[in-house]
Order: sequence, then structure tokens, then C-alpha cells
Amino acid sequence: MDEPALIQHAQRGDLDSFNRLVMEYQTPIYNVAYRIMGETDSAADATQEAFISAYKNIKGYRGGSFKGWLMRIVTNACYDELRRRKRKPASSLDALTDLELNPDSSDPQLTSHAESPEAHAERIDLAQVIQNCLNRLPDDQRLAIVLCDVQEMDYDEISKAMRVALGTVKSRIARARAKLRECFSHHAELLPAEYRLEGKP
Amino acid sequence: MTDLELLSAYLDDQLAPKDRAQIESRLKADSKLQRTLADLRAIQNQLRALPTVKPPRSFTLKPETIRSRSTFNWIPILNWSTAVAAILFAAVISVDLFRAPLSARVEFSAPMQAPAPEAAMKAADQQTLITLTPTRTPAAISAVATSTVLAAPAVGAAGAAELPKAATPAAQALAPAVRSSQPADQIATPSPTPTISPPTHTATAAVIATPISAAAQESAASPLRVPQIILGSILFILIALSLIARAWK
Repeated sequence: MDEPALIQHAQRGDLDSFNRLVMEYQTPIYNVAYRIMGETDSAADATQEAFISAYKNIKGYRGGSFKGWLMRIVTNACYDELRRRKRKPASSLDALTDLELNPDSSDPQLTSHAESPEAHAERIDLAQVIQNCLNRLPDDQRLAIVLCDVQEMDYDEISKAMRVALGTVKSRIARARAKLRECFSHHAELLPAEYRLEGKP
Repeated sequence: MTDLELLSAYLDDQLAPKDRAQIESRLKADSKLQRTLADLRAIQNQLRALPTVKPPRSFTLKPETIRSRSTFNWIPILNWSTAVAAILFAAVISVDLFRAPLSARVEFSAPMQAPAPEAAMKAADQQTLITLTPTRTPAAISAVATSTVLAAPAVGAAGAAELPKAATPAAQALAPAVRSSQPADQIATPSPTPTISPPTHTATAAVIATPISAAAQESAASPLRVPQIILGSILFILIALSLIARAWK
């Protein structure tokens, strides 16, 4: 069954059809949540909330990119979770501390591509450094840069997903890149040669 | 836009053709700008090269998950209730505000005689104070004016009693306090001898010239006070509940 048919069935309350859509999109949706939240438990919670919310509101889906619609929902779910974190800062600090002290503890379960153990370890280190730099960004900027560079959404889609003006999206992405540039420069020794910033010694 | 914003938007192909041509021309001549662009491109490549993370579990929904999450959403109901309570509260306040001056106008429509004595000038300050107070009944005028100007007890409670020609200066001073809306220049040009003036006060003047009243009269003039308090309390509680519900969500 193709996607529009599945969506139509889901709109009539068919949970099986909706679950087939979940199977199709859960990986990219979870990845966005993981990059925004910075750790697995919160990302899983946000993803689950997003799919529940999507099912409840699927009658309001009016065409267009279904993936983009789901991205908006997961973005909102992450926003809600980040707001809850701000109200209860102890838990988020614990999570961040765990992540920084023991990068492997987050166990991002990276998909294997039949690489050597050394290459795999190096790739996890690199990913963890990047994730740590992402975690240091303000929430709004992290959200914008994840949608732009990790999910490769265009500015218009990001503007709709974040419900902000196009100019705000441009500004947040630029500021996020400036901060990432600064953060990466402190970890240059962990980066492979082809990724080293050209402007740094 | 700063150079960084320009370069970032250029990297994402989000610049207008004019801006794009401008930054490309600057890039050709500026090596620092070239390095910054290369850094931004490297960051973008790094983020795009991040490995896909495998979800820790399946997120497919079960019927019981949907049912257990179908908690009732109180926020829209609270919002509507708050709006209705606010409108009712505003309506009751408005009715009370418009109603009080009307009753005062009716009560003050009876003619009032007062002299235009020289002592009026001395009482101008008292009059000014009284003029600034809200709507009151004629009885209240005598009550407050008596206590303020130490007038003789001959002042009528209904506000229509004539002041005797030989009234004490204090009692004469009371009259201008009652006819408050009379312009200052009229007050400043009193008659050579104290005489009893014909009834000249308009209803509007009487309304403006209302002094402080007793609490009992005030409640009588505002029979809507109880609904105001009840509605105000309900409104306050609803606003508090709405804020709590939003924060909780």
C-alpha cells in the first residue's frame, strides 16, 4: 500500500496503517530527536510522544510532505521536553554530565557499516564530540542546525517546523555554526584530517 | 546581515541573486572570508556525516497506549471559562459605573438654593477636594461638608433647604462646596452682600460636585457589589488555574 493510502486509512482510525507509517519514519524522526535532546531516553520519549500526537491529529494533516509534518510534531515534542527540563534542571544536568563524563554510556547504537573496530571507535568518538558541541548550543540554535544540516531541510521547512520567521532561521543557523566552529576548534586533535577546519592552525 | 550570516546563507543557497553575486565577488578578493566559508562548509559536512542512530525500540502504537494517553485536556475549557468570566465581570463593572451617575443625576435634579457669599472664596479649596470624589448622594453632601467646613446644622439633608440670610460664615462657606461646578471666575466675583441665590445648579454640576459618602449609602448605590466580588474571585481563580495548567503541560 502506498503512503497516501496508508495516511487515508490512518485518518479513518486504522492503527495498523498508521503503524506502517511509523515503521517507515521512526528512524529519521528518532534521529532528529536524538540530535536535539542529546541522549537516548529523552529522544525515545519525545519520539513516542510525537507519534502518539501524530496519530491523534492525523485528521488535521492536509497533504504535503508527510515527513515534514512529522518533523514539525517531533520538533514540538522536543521543545516541550526541553521546557520540562528547564523546569526540572537536575535531571537534565545529570544526563548531560553522564554524557560528558562517559561518552560511551549514551550508547547511541550507531548503525554498523562493516568497518574495523578502530575505525568504528574513531567514528563514535567523532560523533560524540560533535554531539557534545551540539549539546552546548542554545536550544533554539541546536534545533535549527539539526534540522538544517542533519536532516537537510530547507529554510522554509525549518521556518514552518519551528514556527519562526525565515530571517530568524537564517540568524539561528549562522550563530549555531559560529559556536560549533569555536567548539570544534578545541577538539581538532580528535577530528580526522579531512574534517579539520581550514582556518585553524 | 553580518558576514557570517551572509556566508551561512550562501552555503545553504538561501541568498537572493544580488546578495549572492556580491558575496561571490568579495570571496574572490578576501582570503579571510574564504577561510570562514571553508570552516562553515567543514562543519556542515561533519554534521551531515553523522552516523544514523538506530532507534532503541519500535515506536509503533498499541491500542492500549492510545487509550491510556487519552487524558482529558482541560486547557481549552479553562481558557473559554476565563474569557466568559472576564466578559461578565467587565459587564457588571460597566453597568455599575453607568448606573451610579444616573441615579445621582436623578436625585440631584431638585432645585438647590445657595448664596454666592464672599466666604465662597475661602471655601474654594474645600470645594476642589470634594469635587474630586466619586458619585455620592445629597445626604452624603451634608454629612461630609458638615464635617469638613464645620457648617451649622441647618444644612438640609435633602440638599434643597435654603440657607438663611443670616447664616454663619461657616454655613455660607458650605454652599459653594455643594455647587462645585461653578467656574472659578464666578466664585471669585461674589456679590457685595450675602444673598440667597436662586436655584441655578444643573444636574451635571450636581453630579460632578459629589463628595465622600458613608459606607452604607455607597453599598446602596452599588447593589451589584456582591456579583462583582463573586465574579472577580471566580476570574482570579480561573486565571490562576489556567496558568498552572499551562505550566504543568
